[in-house]
Amino acid sequence: MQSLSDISLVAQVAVFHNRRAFDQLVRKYQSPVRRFLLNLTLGNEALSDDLAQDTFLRAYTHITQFQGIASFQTWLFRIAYNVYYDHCRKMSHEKLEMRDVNEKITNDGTAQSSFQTSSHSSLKMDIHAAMATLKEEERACVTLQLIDGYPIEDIAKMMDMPANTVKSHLRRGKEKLTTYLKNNGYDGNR
Amino acid sequence: MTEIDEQLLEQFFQPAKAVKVEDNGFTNRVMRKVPYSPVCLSYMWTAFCVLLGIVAFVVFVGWQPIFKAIISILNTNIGDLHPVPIFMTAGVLISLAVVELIQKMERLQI
Repeated sequence: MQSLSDISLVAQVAVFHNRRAFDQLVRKYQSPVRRFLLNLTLGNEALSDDLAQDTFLRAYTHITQFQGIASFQTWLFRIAYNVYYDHCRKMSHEKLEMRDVNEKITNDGTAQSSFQTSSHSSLKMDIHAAMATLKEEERACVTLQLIDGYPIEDIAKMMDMPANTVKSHLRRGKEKLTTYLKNNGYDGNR
Repeated sequence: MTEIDEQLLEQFFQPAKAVKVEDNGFTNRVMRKVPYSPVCLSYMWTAFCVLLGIVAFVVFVGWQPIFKAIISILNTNIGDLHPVPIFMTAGVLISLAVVELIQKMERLQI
């Protein structure tokens, strides 16, 4: 029934350009989309909100391309990942700086980073610090599987890559995270 | 190569699954940037023109010439009408009706 109501709202946006229907869709999906981008950007709230805004604007202008085969959330996540990927390509210089920060975090093995300026709990900081040890593709795959609970087939569709490539990214990402957690004394009991 | 500890990772990411990001005006910010589509603008333009027409009709007492024309038609003798314009009008109307009928049959694939 949930997907039926989504399809009804999408149809109203696509055919009648009903802004109220789109408002309902944004209100409903802003949390998962922003959380996904927040994890990809390692807790950078301002950047993730900008990217989330671009995601919804792109969804509005391309709403007729939604075929209803996958769920609306899956379609939104695919757009969100593309927006993030485009941003990374545009900001290649910034990306290099980010890698330096990531390397620093990895070398230090602690959560000391520029992301501490945001108002996150220490738990979130831990997650973002751990995620900083991963490459972008690995981070996206790990976020989609371990936080958002998507199966490999859906992740492959979202990231537009073969399922085997997704499995490789997941394996490498999980290996790095296991090492990071064990090196930092995380035993799962805190 | 490190062995992956699935249980450890599951426990580590468990709190992140429950995180719900509050809206805090995000939806309103997005809706302010959503572009008005050409279709939406055309509806608004049509509504504006209709409103303008109604105002002009009232301001310039648009019903007076309509009443005059109706009264003039009612006072006209049928014999005074010239047959040529009537035949021309009837011809155009019949042609349009035939074209419409053909198109309707094509749409219904009769």
